[in-house]
Amino acid sequence: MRSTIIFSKTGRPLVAMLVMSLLIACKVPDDPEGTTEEVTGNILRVGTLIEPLDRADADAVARVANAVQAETELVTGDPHTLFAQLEDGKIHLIAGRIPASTPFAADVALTDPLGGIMLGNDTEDRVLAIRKAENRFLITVNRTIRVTIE
Amino acid sequence: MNHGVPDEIERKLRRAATLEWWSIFWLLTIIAVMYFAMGSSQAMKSAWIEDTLSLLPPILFLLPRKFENKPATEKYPFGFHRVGSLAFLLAASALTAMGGFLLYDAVSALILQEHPTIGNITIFGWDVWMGWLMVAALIYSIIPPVILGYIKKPLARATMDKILYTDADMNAADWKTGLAGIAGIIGIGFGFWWPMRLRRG
Repeated sequence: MRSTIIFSKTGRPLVAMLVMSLLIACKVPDDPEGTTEEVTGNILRVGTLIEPLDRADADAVARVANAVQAETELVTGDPHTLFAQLEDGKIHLIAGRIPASTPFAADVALTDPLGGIMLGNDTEDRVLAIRKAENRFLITVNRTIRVTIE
Repeated sequence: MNHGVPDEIERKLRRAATLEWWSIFWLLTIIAVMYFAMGSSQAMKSAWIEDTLSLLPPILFLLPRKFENKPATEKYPFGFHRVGSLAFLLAASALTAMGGFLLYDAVSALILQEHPTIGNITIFGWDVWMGWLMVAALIYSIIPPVILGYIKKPLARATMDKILYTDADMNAADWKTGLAGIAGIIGIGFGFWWPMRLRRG
């Protein structure tokens, strides 16, 4: 009986709405370039601005890798090359004492602060950089950072 | 009766003035809500500027009412009736400039293929994608203007006030901007980067 209600004409919009909400709940927000899918169970390529990464950055990177069950592969290079590679999707994350006020902010997406860093006499929020608009990946990283801080 | 304005019309103008005060009040609440929801989203910033500028028509309707009935002076022997036209010109110029800015902003972003990043935020212990907050803010930003717009329209027709008419028309059509914005954010949610740009266009 119940199945006839669900598949009846009046039930169809309800089913459609349920399916849509489930889809939305699972998939929104998604990555336009599919970073999360690419890294999950695979390799997380991390650009490092300093070598070796200090503890806060290294911890955050390790936890992100753990969250997406990925192996970390560190990529070194000068900042401009690394940020260009991030924009092209060749690396997935950049770490290494990045302040929230970084001049690269316009070209990448910055995560929530994972602590502070001293720049001269000022304390700035320390963040990680990911590819712009990869909103699902950004949320994954932000959630991991929050758990780390708590 | 004021300068040949029939009582009936004057009553309607007074009612319109009350409605414009309400418009300003609701717009201020919308501006506040949108400000907290916009985060660092450039597209929401444009929507916020748009809302801020939409304060102009109600203000420019209310301001001339203070002046237009003043008696003529030696310097202005024909009185101040035309203040309304001047205000209309100002409102129209401001809205045209705003339209131009939004079009430029949208087209350049589309050409440069800017990708909107929208993160998440913790509110009362809940981890929420900011896109949902923006959708909620946009839904809120539609309701008062559309209701006020539909109440103002007949008054604008009856009083033949062009600022009031433009304002009412803009308000009544506000749901289109709002819905387009919501569609834009949900589009971003599904991983398309361009819908917000088209909306702004």
